[in-house]
Amino acid sequence: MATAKHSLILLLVFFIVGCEDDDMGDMEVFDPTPFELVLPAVLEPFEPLMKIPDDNPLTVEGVALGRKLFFEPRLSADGSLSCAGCHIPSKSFAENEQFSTGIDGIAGNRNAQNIVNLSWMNSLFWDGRAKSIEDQALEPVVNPIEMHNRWSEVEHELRSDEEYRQLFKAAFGTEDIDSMLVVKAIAQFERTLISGNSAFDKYLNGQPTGWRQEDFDAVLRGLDVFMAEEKGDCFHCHGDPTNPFWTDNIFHNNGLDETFSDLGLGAITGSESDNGKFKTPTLRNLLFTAPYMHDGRFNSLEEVVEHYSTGLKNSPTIDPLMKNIDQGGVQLSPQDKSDLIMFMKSLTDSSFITNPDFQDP
Amino acid sequence: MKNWICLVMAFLVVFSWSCGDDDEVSIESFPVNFNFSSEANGLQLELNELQYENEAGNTFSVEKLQYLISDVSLTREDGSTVDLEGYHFVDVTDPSTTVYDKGFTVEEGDYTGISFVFGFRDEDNITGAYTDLNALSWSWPEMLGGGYHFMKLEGRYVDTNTNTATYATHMGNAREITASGNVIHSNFVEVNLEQSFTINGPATIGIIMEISNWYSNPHTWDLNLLNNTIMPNYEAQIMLNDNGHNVFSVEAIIQ
Repeated sequence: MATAKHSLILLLVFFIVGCEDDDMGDMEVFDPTPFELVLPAVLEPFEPLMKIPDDNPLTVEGVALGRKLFFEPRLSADGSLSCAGCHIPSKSFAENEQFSTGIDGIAGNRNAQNIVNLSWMNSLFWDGRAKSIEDQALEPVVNPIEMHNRWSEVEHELRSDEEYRQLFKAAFGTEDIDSMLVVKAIAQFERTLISGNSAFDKYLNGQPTGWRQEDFDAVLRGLDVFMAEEKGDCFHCHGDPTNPFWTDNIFHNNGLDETFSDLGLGAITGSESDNGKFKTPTLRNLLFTAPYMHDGRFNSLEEVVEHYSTGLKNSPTIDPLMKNIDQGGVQLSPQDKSDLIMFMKSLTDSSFITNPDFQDP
Repeated sequence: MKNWICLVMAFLVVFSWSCGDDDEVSIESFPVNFNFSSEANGLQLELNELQYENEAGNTFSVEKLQYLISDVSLTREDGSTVDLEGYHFVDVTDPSTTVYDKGFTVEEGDYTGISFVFGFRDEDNITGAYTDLNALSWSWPEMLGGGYHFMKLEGRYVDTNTNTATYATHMGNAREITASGNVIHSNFVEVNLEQSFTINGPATIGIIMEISNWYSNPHTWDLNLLNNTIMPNYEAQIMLNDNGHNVFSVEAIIQ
């Protein structure tokens, strides 16, 4: 009886194994290569805080596809404008226009933000309406004053391209291209746009900055202005040497206007207390990203610093961190202003804008 | 044969039960977490409402309230403590941060108090040591002693001209400027709350902050005089420390 039982069990095992083998033989294995991010030293400790969705891990194939799509003008209705049209690599993925102009020649009302270290951002757009890079990437394609396209058209265009079919198959295991896969790929590429190699980063790492000592002395004086609550008090919103993102990732009304033509966060939340608030931008690579503010009203860092020094305007939602509003601001001395600007310039990472992995493939 | 197997299994079950009884002392542990809530003038905090009054008579609102709690401990009846190491960042505008739940388990029994540090003790208050706090721009400037903020309390108040003005009450290390140089003083607050309670099941301990108490007892704080640039103000930092001993209470212990 025991022998009969053993024989039955063995038979079942062979049957099961045999079934599995047959099924596997018909399947093509989808096995993309994990993309290994190499983080700059100042960002290494922050790797656990990166926001990478479980359903969109970085892969070599996905990043390569996202890079191609980022520079793909066929995402726009007339084939003339890619993401890189407004987010130019040599401008730290911003542009030097006050407002970006879409394919129909219509300008928007917000300044194009740079694309740097987005994996650590809690929200995107000046008003924070996108909670992920994937969400953000869905919008410009169909925005009537940007790419003015339809996702169905984009999907058709890409499906009819054999190269794209193969690239999507390699990245996502399917040639059935849809908008979600397009934005997933673009998001993967954008998550690789990491900057952490400025002169100030090198200083923090104990490396030579490449700057003349007298200039870096001004940088360090500027850091003091930046960090002093009774002077610049920039750090509450823009971070500090322990925060390599140089933003607090939240929203403030920084005293630009007494009344608001653009409600910013308030238009998203519907709360009056959020009117006139915009997300704090990173200070990284400011040298490349003029003009400044959500509406690009300031053409130079000098104008920006003068705003906080003497140009603040009161309003019902002005941030409590804005100082001496009655006097227009913190009244920095010419030396403080000069040093503060030197400090901000030290956050420039030229290697970021020349990185060959970030250019048009 | 079936009967045999049943007998052997029954024996094994009984044997394992009896072994367990012999080895274990029957003290159970239960999960415990903490819920931090906020009120002003005894009312549940409503953000952005210019409706609260402090001891100095200032009408004020709260727009931001963030603070740091560390080294929570529970005191047993015999005076020994259960130390729950770690820290927690509370942001009143983000409900997900008001519950401090790090998987703590606490032995059943009678307890007489709850203690915690508001901020960090000096040995924990190390600039740049906590990546999550760094990403929140929570650092305290090196020129003021470094480490981290303990609190950011911000909002608006009605000033002496009946205009609406802003305040930012930030707390951290206290820098004293003396003739012989800067002296950095610890400014964390040891909060000790006497409360008798029994842990006999999973528990949530509710801690409540009365915001207006930051501005009273023993020091009456007038927002017309102390509204902004509080961080480098040594006397103001010490006032906050003194007043901070009377800000928290136990709201409830829910089991």
